[in-house]
Amino acid sequence: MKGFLKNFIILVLILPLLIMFLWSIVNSWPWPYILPQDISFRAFLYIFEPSTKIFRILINSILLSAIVTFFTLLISLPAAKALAFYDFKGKSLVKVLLLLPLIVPILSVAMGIHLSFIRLGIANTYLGVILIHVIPGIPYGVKILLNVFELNGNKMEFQARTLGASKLQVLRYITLPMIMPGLIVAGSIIYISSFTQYFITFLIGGGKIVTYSMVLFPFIESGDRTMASALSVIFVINIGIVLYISEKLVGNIYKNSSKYFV
Amino acid sequence: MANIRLIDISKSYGNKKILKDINLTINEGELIVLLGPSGSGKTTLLHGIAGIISFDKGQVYFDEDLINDIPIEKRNAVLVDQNLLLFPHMTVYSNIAFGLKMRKVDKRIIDKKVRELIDLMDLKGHENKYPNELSGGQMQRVAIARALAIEPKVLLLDEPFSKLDIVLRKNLQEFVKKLQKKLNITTIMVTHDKEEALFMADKIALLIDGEIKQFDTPMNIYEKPVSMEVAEFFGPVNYFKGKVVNGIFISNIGEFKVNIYNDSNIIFMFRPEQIILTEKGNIKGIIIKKVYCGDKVNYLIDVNGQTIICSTFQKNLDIGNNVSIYLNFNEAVYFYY
Repeated sequence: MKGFLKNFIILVLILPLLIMFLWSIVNSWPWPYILPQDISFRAFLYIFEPSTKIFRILINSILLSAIVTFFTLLISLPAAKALAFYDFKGKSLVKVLLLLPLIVPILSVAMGIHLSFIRLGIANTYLGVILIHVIPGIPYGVKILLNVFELNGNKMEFQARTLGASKLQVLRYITLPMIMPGLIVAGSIIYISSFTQYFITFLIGGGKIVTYSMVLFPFIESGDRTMASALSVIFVINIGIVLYISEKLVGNIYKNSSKYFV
Repeated sequence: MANIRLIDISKSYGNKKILKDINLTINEGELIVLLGPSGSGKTTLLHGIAGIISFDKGQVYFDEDLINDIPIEKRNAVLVDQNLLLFPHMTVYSNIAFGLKMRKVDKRIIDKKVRELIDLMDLKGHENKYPNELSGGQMQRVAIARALAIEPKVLLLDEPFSKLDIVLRKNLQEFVKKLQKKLNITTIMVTHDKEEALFMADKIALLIDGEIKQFDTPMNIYEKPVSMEVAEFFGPVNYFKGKVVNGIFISNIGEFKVNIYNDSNIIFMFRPEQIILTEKGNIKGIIIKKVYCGDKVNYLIDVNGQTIICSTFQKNLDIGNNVSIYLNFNEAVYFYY
């Protein structure tokens, strides 16, 4: 019974992906055929056709999300550390406010920020898009790292310092390796959050900055199922690769060192 | 290697005073034990010397250098925490080499030094293991090796043996004591275990409620406590209250010749092992309870309504037996109340 349930759940999760994959390589799939009759790779050929620029946009998007991930972690790391180890007035309020971007619709946040970005002259630029992508990533980054810091404590850091390590050396040789699993997990979630953003990219980028999700959208809307499926397959593969790498890295860290790790 | 002077050290957390005007001078090469119950401020004092926390008031000197404002990494005072805190992502070798690597010491010198310590600590063959692959005793030795690698001025041990089983603990206590004398490193060790303190220390500082109640050699602090509080910390004691008139101590258990001439309100203290059961005793009592402890037996003896605890090797006595007790008042410690 347990095995059946497991298989059923896997099937429910996999089946839509399977159908999506099939859809991406057909020309037409009319009723009442269970399997498609007319296989064609036109969608993939179209995607990788240089004149459509879709492949370039994909690479651009991956880079954009990677940069967003880097900056979000850069901001989250000191913030999480401060929240974990320093006492200041209103600390618990700040902890709650951190989750706000998850509660308040990001769209309303972005619309407000849009005005400021126009004033600052960074609307319709890569910088603007990167900054707006950082916002939904921060709650994940800070929350995950905060938990990691709270679990690890800062005793190891103090130990390293009594042994003569400067603050910078402590960061490099102790803190970063110790929180690496947390960084990887937070990083992959932030990456996915950025990669899947559609509307705020559209708003802040003003249509000039085109990301992969924005390419996907018109095809879904226009009802070209084959194209939408092919684009989605690549979308899923990209995220799958990120999750796979993250799992592998974290697994390796656990395997190579002590169970002291969180 | 340095002498340490603590002058008027105070520390509070909120309204609670953890340390109250601590003054302490520790000579170069000495092993001092900070002994006290949990919550007495021992670890706070140690962390303050290491620089992990700052004191509210007072000065800390290593030799002639005031180190209050010197950052942790420049103090050369290494802490060995009770949780050992070996870096989990580094091998035994890298853990021991850590302090030297941070000082950017030449790689060959580091290697030589680390190999020496690995030999000294009997860790050969474990160089490339990670901390989770080691036993408790090995982890302990790695932690000490890591601390010694940088040749610290001051070694700070925070209950370093508390998590080891009793046999291992004894071994390591002896090992560390020997090593400390050999290397002549000024050492402060924190413990709540009085046997460990008596065994390890050159001098014991008894810390209760943030105050040093007595700072003395193990023998003096055990045999000549300055107060009843200190006496009681080291185990059960018997008190005899009374007054001295013309060299005679008068109490409810009898009258005895003493070295003092005249005094009212005096309390004589006897430890259980100072209660001697002998034919030629100077008081009589009845055994009311017997507790077998293996190497010795504890008897509770009723003398004129006062219960005395006696610890002796004589195991053949039983409840209800009449015993004769010898109390040597000439060597007994006394307090006033």
